Amino acid sequence: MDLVREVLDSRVLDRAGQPIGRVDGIVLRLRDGEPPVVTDLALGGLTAVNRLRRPFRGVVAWIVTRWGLRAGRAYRIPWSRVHDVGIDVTVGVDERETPAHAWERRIGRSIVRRLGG
Amino acid sequence: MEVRLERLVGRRVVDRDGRGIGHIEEVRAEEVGGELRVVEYLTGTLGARRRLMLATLPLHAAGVLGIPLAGSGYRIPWRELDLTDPDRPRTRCRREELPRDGG
Amino acid sequence: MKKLLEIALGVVTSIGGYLDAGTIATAAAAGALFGFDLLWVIPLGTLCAICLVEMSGRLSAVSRHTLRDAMRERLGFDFFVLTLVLGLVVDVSVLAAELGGMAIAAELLTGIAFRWWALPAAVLTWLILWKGTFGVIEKGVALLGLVTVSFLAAAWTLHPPVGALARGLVPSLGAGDRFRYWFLAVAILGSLISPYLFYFYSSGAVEEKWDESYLGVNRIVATLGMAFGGIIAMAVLVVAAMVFHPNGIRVERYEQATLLLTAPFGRAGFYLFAASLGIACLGAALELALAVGYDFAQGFGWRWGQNRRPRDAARFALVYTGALAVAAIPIALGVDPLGVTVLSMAFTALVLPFVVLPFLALMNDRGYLREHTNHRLANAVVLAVVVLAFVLAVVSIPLQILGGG
Repeated sequence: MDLVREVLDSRVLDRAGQPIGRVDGIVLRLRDGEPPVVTDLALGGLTAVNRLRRPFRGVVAWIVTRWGLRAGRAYRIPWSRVHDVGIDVTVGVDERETPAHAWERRIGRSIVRRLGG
Repeated sequence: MEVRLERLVGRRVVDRDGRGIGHIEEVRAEEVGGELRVVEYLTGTLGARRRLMLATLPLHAAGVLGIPLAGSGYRIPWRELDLTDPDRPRTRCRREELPRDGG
Repeated sequence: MKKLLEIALGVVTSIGGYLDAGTIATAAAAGALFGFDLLWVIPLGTLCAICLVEMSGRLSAVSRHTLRDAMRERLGFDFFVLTLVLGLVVDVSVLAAELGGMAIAAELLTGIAFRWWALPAAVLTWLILWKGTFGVIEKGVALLGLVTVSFLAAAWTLHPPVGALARGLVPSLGAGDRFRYWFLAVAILGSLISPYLFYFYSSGAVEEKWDESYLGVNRIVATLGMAFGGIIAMAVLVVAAMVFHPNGIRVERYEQATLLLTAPFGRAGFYLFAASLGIACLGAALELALAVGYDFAQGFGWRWGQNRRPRDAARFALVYTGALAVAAIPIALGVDPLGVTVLSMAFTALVLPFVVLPFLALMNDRGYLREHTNHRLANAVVLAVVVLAFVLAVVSIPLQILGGG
């Protein structure tokens, strides 16, 4: 499996096929004398922001931590919960467990519903 | 120790003697016993076959017109890449000892 | 049978949806200043647009991903962010131009200054997006947009000299004010090859769940729709060449542009022009606002889709709402919509290589498109036009700004 081509930046779908974000990062654990192993996929938070070049990183990081949920912490999905890697990455997670859903709900309640949406 | 793959992509790799052998373009892995283990790292000079990078746009213009893109990289087996300092990856061997990646 | 109906609807909506504030403003200005001399730019830009739109439909039908999905997945995060920011700046400025066009149409009909119509125009656009479905938006408004065929009727009525038309289709270096000539050539190209067109088209292909069996439909819709749209754009230039150029009238305000249809049709032409401008700009504003929402939602993996209720894709809905609010500001402040329009078209041309080149690279990626990658000729055509537009933009925009044109 080519991790950059097939996994990194792919869209992530929950077990019901709903989008919950993109693979912004992949966590490797280094081990003495053994090959590194993929432990988690990282979604959201400052993961994507830290991939930006230096001048932009600071500004965007401020926005994310000010307005995003969980003060910019990334959401990690253990590799063991990845079901399929194809056009999208499908994981055995319920969308309702994820920060993305909480963020959608918060915006939905505070702004969208008030506008009749 | 944890290393973030997305921070490795695009990093310049040098060999044991400090000579450049390209930038990390791809990380190849395989499932063994329920684990997804890194097998090798692929470097290149262009990002042509795997990821586009901003600096390589003119070369991609050439590729789009069918002009063969020059350059290939190296395949670094996992045990040959020293990631003690993930911002400055280096191989444990000389580049002549590494297999070339023909794409 | 279903596919035939889809083709027919797709072509009709492309015709109705192709004309917008940018095309009307730039074609009218070009015809007024240079007669038929810039006619050749429109088929060139239309050919390029056909290629790009067909490509974006093919990408989505084969990969089941939108163009923005593919950009993120193949280009690396840095480049994705660059194209996102550039696209946002261009899209919001063009959106401002379209809202300006709607506001002008309302001013023509009511006599109330356009700046007071900026907010209602934005609210109307927003309401249609908030309450409507993709089908209603795409097909309903574009069917109404067929009123722009009145430009074709006007061109026919005025009997343009065939010899002059033929000469206009041959590229020339331009006579008279060369800087203005090339600046308008760039602006026309920018109005025809707007990135939001092919981002929106690819999102539509995914919303409509196109697959490989739709490749033929895609080819026909893209070709016929854009081609007929290009013919209407040429009609605008031809009418301007017949009505303004012989009298030395420069089109510096939208109000003057009403002559395009009042000259051939009298009073009825005035209402036709207002309707054409208003509806064409409304259609474009809807697509642009959605395109901004798609860019963010697809790029970051949020829920998106015009067929979802806003509360079910809240971040996507909030982004297009914000885009409309920001775009309304310059028009509400009284900034001249025609000036905004022409300049935003030229900036589009400047940004094109950064959007189109990665797109072309994607279209040659077998991992995404398997055996449906681009033919080398298509690559060459698109590359040539886009590079030409960029070079001309780099040269002519500063000169135009310094020259106060």
